[in-house]
Amino acid sequence: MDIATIRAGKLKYLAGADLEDEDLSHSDLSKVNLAGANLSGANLAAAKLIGANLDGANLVGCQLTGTDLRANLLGANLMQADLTEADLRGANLRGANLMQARLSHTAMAGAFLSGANLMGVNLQRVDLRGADLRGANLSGANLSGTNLTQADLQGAILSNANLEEADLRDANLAGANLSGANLLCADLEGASWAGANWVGACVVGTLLEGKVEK
Amino acid sequence: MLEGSILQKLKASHELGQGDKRPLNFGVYYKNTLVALCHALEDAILEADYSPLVITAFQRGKWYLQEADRYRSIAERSPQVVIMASDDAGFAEHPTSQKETVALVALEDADPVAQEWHLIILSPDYTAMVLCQELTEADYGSAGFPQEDLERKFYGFWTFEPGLVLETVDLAIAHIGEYNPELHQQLTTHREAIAARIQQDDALCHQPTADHLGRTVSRVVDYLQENQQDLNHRIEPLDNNLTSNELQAFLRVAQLIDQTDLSNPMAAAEVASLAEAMGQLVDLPSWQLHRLRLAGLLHRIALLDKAENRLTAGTSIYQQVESPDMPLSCPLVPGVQVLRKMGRLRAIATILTHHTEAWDGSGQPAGLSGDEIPVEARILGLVACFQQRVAAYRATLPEEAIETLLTQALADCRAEASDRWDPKLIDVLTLLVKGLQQGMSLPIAMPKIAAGLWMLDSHSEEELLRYEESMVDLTLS
Repeated sequence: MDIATIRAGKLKYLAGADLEDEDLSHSDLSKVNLAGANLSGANLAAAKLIGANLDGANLVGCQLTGTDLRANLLGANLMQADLTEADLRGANLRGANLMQARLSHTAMAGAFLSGANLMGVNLQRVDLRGADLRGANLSGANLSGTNLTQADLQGAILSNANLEEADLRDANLAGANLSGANLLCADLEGASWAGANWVGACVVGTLLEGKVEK
Repeated sequence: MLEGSILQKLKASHELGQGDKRPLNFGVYYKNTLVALCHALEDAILEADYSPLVITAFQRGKWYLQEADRYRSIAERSPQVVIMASDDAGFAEHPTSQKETVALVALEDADPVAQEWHLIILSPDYTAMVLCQELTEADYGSAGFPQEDLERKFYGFWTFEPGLVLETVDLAIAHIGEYNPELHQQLTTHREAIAARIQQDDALCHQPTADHLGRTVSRVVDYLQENQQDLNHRIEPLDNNLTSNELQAFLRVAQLIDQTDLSNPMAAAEVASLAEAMGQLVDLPSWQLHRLRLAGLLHRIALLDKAENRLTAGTSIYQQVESPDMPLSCPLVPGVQVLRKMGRLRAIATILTHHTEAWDGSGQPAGLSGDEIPVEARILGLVACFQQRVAAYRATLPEEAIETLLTQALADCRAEASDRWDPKLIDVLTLLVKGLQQGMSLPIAMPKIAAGLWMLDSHSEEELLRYEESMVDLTLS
């Protein structure tokens, strides 16, 4: 397989390809089928992958800074990937593994993250407006000051997460596990939280202070 | 939250369903942030002739004693200063405490106000306050009470809004009355006199200007930044808290500008949403969308001064280029200069400076034309004007359906395509308006003011125009 041809985006079918540690930075891989491909350690910085299929792909430790990843990443493994300023708006990340990934100024508005693993991830400066985080594992994640307006966090695991000053207006927290979470001064105007577990959570300075049954 | 505290009482009177009051939104503040904020807001008193009523709560007398020398000068410029604190040794003996205009209220230990940190400044031309209370041991959770004094956390908010300050003054006066009925009477008299003057048209607290509020905000940003430099071992949460409050200072001004414009009170939020939607339609990268959103939220700060003062030089950039011995420069916009105080808002400041340019080069301040105008500035200029027109129609034709108003405002903008506006963007706006008329909805909301950091992208310190550096030099000289 010629890397130059791949970089030019001329090969549209690369499912299962082994591209470990390859330099694909600034390439255009839009609409390329990379399902199940091995891209671990690859450099995809500033590459375009709009509409690409990365279903089940291995992106462990991948360089994805500034990458346009408005793509299908269903069940992809993004462990330790660097997603600084990556564009994941509306991307399909259902069941993806993002543990130890670096996310700073990452755009994830409207992304589908249900069932994704975001344990302990720092999401402080991530735009998660309207994201689908149903059943996602966010335990111990840092979501302080994060914009989660209209996000769907139904059944999400947020135990011991830091949600200090988080913007949760109109978010859905029904059935979420918030035990031990820090919601100091979070904004929950219009949010719903029926059946959420608040054991040991700090809700000082929030609108729901005094309304929560622990 | 402490039952019977001033913060709690204010919050309770703003709970949902309490008339037309907005629910209060709180933020988290570290001790050093609060010190910097309070010093900045207090020092405004020393600079102008505001003659304010100043009410403070210091938790303990010893914290007041650390500030007592500063308060001597503040007391010289204020008809009445009230200090609430628990009675520590030396609290009453300090020379400042002996001054005639200074009244001490020795709080009982069980008083919830003894856990609060307040600075309330009320005058016709300047209102400001910081209203916080400290986290209890239980609130800190499993981590427990911090070892370092610097890491002590408070929650509450700060503001320039005259209405909220006046409401809080009333709560504070009532609380003081439980200790000292005579002082209660005096304070009530002061409060009435100031409240009457606040109602008058010439009261500046309702009219944000570049020279009064602008200078205060500059000082807030300066003091917070000084603190940031002093954090010799950078502690991330503390550093973030300072940055967040620098941004908050500007967002609070934007909020105040909207509140004082009864005919268009949602301008910031609406322009931000429209601009972001336009940016999405032309497929700008996400960091540029965030920048555009923030510029929309802050765009009215650019218009803080009166029109005749807005340009320090009426010449265009091109005239200056023609004479090579003159340094390349761009006229300064006073409101925007305030934003430049914060390095991370430099790109936003550039967008705001140029959002009044015209596509054909006939605009201000630099007479840029076509693609020379940064795309964000082109989008912002168009949607700000469009939003203003919709608001104006809404005010004059309240019976008309919103769809009709949108059509009219769009037609007005279309008539100026290629002269004032980028024709491509007019087509995009047309598409957006069509979408809105067919039921597409844009979420219109001010950001949570304490949580705006997600909008500050790492590109925001880049300049958008080649001559920008010389412009910054000019600012410093």
